[in-house]
Amino acid sequence: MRRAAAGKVPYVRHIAAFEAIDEAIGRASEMGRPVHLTTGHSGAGLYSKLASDHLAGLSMLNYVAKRCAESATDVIATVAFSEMIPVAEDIIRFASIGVGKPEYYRDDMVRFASDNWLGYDMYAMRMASEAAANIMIGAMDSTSSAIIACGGAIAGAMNIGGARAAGDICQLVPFCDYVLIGEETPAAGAIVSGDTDSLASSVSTDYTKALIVVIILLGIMMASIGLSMDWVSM
Amino acid sequence: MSFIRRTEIPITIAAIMTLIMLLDLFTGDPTLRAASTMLQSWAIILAGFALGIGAVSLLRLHTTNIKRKRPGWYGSVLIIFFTAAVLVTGLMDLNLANPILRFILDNMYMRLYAAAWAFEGIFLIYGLYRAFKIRNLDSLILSVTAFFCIIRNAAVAEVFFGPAAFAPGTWILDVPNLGGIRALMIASSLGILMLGLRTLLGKERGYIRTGG
Amino acid sequence: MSAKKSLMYRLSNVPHQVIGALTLIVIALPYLMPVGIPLKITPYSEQFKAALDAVPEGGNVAFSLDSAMGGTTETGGMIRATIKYFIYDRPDVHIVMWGMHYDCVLVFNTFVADVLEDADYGKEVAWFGYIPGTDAAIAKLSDDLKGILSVDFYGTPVAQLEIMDNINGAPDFDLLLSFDTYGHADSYVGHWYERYKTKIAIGMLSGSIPVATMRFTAGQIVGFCGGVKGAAELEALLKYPGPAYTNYDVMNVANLFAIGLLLFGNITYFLTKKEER
Repeated sequence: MRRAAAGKVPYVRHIAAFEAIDEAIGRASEMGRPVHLTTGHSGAGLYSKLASDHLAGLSMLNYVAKRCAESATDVIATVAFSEMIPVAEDIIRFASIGVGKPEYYRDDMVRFASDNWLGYDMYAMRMASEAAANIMIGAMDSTSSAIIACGGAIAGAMNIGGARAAGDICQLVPFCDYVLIGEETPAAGAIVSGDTDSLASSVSTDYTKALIVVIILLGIMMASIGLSMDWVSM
Repeated sequence: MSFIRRTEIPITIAAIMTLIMLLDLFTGDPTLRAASTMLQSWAIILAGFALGIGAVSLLRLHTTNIKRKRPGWYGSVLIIFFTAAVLVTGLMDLNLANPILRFILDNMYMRLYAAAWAFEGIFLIYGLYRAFKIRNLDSLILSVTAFFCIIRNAAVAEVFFGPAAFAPGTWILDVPNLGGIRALMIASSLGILMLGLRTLLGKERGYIRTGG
Repeated sequence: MSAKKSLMYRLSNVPHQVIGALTLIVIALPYLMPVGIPLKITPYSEQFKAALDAVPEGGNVAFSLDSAMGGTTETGGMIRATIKYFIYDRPDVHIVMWGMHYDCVLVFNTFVADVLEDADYGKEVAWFGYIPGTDAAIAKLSDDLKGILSVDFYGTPVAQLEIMDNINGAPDFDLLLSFDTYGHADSYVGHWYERYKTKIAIGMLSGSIPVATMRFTAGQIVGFCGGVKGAAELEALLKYPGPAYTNYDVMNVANLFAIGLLLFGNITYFLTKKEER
């Protein structure tokens, strides 16, 4: 994070699903249908341990809202938790002001049906089926992923999904044209937000993972030769 | 900008709260434990208020839909009607034994819930048919893995394929799947750790009004 | 162009409405004509039962109803079988019940309430209803249970419930049971096991089995029961047959249908490709 603050922005590899978002927005613009974005229903919103995933989805909303405002394409953001409503509204409002089109924002762009799984999934599925591009990035849980993605796929929408948990990713894969897997979700959120601290922390998790791999390999070697690894446990 | 609207205030509060919870976890100091417990109580109370915000936002959105006669406004009428019905009947008996409430919950809510779960099942089976077609190496691995994992879940497969039917699926779930899940879990945990670290350092601003 | 209209092409692109209708028919058949597929007990279900049996005499069990109502197709049977086991076979065990999901009251009324009529409420069992706050609430329950559970679901102060006399937090429980469809079990592992080493056993949807297997092999939980299959096995082991066994037939038939569809989709796809060449 210090290096990023000093101007040395870390390198992040090409993520196909992220690159496809512009394509999806262009497609929606040509077809005259809206872009639908949802951040998922997993966890308990912004005060749960999955808050980082919801925030990644909201960063993506910021990026999508800017692009849609530029091309005068409607964006519909379906949120699953009430505390996200003002945050999402502010994001779209400020995004439209940021691109010089304050009249773009409408108060029906952020939709909330219920924080009950049933209400959220059915409503989001209906929104996805009316859109030309359906972006599901954030804390997508397994049930929501299948229902919303399939609703979009059946209506011919271009589906882009992203989740961290394995059980949720496997539900996105059959229906999505592009999928962000695992850490690609917060990394994409960090890229679009331009927040170098988030990007730097995503990269630092890679270094930590490398360290964990080294410790695992060390443990395997030590266990193989009969040495104890008790000194590692906290 | 007025002092109250400065973003430094919520960031500082969040950082202090995070530090208290973290120090309590590692030290177990009685004073910190008491402070941590109090913060947890506040979080629970906030969670309750968030439900109220949800109801107000719901009413605001759907009354606007009805006023402006947007497409599907009749759905908004139903939402508001049933929200009011459940609220009033629920408050009349806090043990949720009111007959009207029981009728709505048992005969409408539960049935719709079951139907929505059925949607998921149908969509998954449709996804299986549509997406699991062998076009390349990745889809071959996906389809073969799905085949053996489904066989493992269907005990009746033993009749068609013998006792060895479960072995490949069990191996897939217990070896590569477990390894992958562990890796994703570790990565996810590191991400959550980073969120906590950024909150502690005051660098996490996603929950504050952003100017784009 | 002629290939696009061929039978093979149509068969490899069957509309979703047809797939949905076939799925409905296939799933409805076992309800109308039960097959009675024999049950094969797996070691994981036996481990779950062993965890229940390991509760010492006079022990305390925390029973957390974290299942959404829709998920009770899978978790309902295991909830009912487990509560019956404790009320009828282990009346010495004290059960403290609450729920982290807002559907918990519905789940309680549907699967548990009638069984508790045979129990001595206040001495053998207590029910506290829905507790909002998920992670924060679970953390507080582990440290300061009476700070949250000051009155039970019926408004009785906790001081008047004999069962709660010696229960103040996670260390006072011999087992925590979480029947979960939303991931609350992860919070229990984080706060109850990692800090206080409370034994945890989880009942959950079949989709969560891989994560539960990982936690079980790591020793974080002492047992898990997953999906309709696990629930049916548990009902058989505890000798309280219920809804899971009926759904077991349906699950088997649905799985066979899924395999058939997967093979059918691939065969028609390859034949279509062959025609196009």
